[in-house]
Amino acid sequence: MAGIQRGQLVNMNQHYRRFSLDYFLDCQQRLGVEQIELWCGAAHFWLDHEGLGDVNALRGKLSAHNVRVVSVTAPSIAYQYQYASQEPELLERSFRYFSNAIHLAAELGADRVVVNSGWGYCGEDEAAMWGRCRDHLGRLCLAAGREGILLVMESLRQDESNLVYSLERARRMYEEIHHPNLKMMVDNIATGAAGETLEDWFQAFGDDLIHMHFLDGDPWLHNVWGDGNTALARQIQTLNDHHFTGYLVQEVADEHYFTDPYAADRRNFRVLERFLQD
Amino acid sequence: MAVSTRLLGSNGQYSRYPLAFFLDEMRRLGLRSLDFVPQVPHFFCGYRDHDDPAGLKTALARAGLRVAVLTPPSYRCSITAPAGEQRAATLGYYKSCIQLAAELGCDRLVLDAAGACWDLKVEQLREHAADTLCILCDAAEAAGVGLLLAPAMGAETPLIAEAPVLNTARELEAMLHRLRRPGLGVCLDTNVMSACGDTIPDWFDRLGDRTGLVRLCDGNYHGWRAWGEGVLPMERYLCQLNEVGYGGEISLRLPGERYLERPSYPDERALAALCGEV
Repeated sequence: MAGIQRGQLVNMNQHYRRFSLDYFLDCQQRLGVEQIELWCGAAHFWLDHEGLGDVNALRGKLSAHNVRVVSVTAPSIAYQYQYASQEPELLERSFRYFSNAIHLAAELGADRVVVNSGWGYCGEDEAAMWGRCRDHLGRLCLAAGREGILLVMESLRQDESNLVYSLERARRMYEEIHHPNLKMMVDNIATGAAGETLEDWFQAFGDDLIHMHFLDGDPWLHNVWGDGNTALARQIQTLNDHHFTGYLVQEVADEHYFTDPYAADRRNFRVLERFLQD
Repeated sequence: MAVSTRLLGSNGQYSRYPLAFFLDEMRRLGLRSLDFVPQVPHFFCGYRDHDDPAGLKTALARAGLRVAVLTPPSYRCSITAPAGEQRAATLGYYKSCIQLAAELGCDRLVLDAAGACWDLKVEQLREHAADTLCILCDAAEAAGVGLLLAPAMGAETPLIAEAPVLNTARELEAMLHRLRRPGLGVCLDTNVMSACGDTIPDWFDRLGDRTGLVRLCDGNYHGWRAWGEGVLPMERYLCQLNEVGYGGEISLRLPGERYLERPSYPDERALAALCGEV
């Protein structure tokens, strides 16, 4: 039977955004979750273009709950920063913000940071916004290289971005940046909304596909497994066929789960754990 | 027919377009005053300071527009935050925004309890909000700016819930009573008011002389909607505002992201209904 390794399962704190970090970590400990992708949103961890929150305090809390951070996400839709910021001063602040996220990942012993393309103005010149995003991500790759961090780029849905919203555009951006610290990831809500399959992305990126936001899409919503329309065993078979050993991050981002994220986690891991092989 | 100066346009839904586009749209629609959201990419407010407003002031003057009310996005901040990093940033952010309001010649700033941690006790959250508002009132009074506390979406709207406190007219009245600051008033948002079970007559019975702004917006339990596209009796609400003698400004601002790709649509719907009535 197709299966996954326990070390591939990673939860995320984004759906606990209405709760404190302490509450989130208590829940993870109860669930036995030991790996997370840290979403650096309020009120869990402070991150802006001028600096970071208290990393030592964060390390202490993680350690006390037996949780380690394997990847970092700096929110880029909810706050003031994004990867293709349209105005020069905003873009510079965004660069400093995302650079701080890269540094945070290094401080926490994570080896990767999730990135996306951001977006340009509606109706903006395609070449201008594309080039701005590409050059910014290129600068971030250099920053990541200095810190020993990989950037993993996801595509977005077309209602979220007018830049990288499809496999074809993801491949073009990846090839134009062409940096060893840029790797690729599937967010299977974005890829599902674009009508793409895991197989398509493995064919496109091969071993450079190292990370996933792995949810049960319908295909639009970031559902927990069991609430969408995805054939899980078939998805895992595709992962196995391509010897995928990267992380399967549970980015449970749909608002339906924000009221009781612990219940969402319990239901979600109940499904995924049936496929564990170790 | 001329658009009443009591009606305020807002850039809240125009975040996918340049500032110049928004200002042109306001002129086209005949709006002359704004409920301005200092949001990227139109204007950058950080947690310690903000951009030089000279460019914004010039653009506003050229467009013949004035900022009547400033509504900062809460971003990572919350007035309900406990003492610590987030509260310090919240104080820094809103003090900076108060200063910006004064620099723009605008005499009111709207804020609410969004971003609360729901695992904290409600009395703690209220106490934190009171402590923070007390400090902000000092800064606002010194700058000649009034603060307007708007109700936040609560537990009965789980998809868009913002805080478990400061949702109802009764709670806002209690907070005003607790703080006893003449410079602190309230902003009525008809969608939040409705979702929380209040009525316009009840609201004005409690808070009539402290209501410094009305957001006359349609909506439902999932969010804010253009005039006539939600579940609220907008024409009745307009009559009731006249019956209670409200003669202040009416903002067309709609929170949320529903109209980002066609932001003038809700403005046009509202103006079609309101011109000649206000």
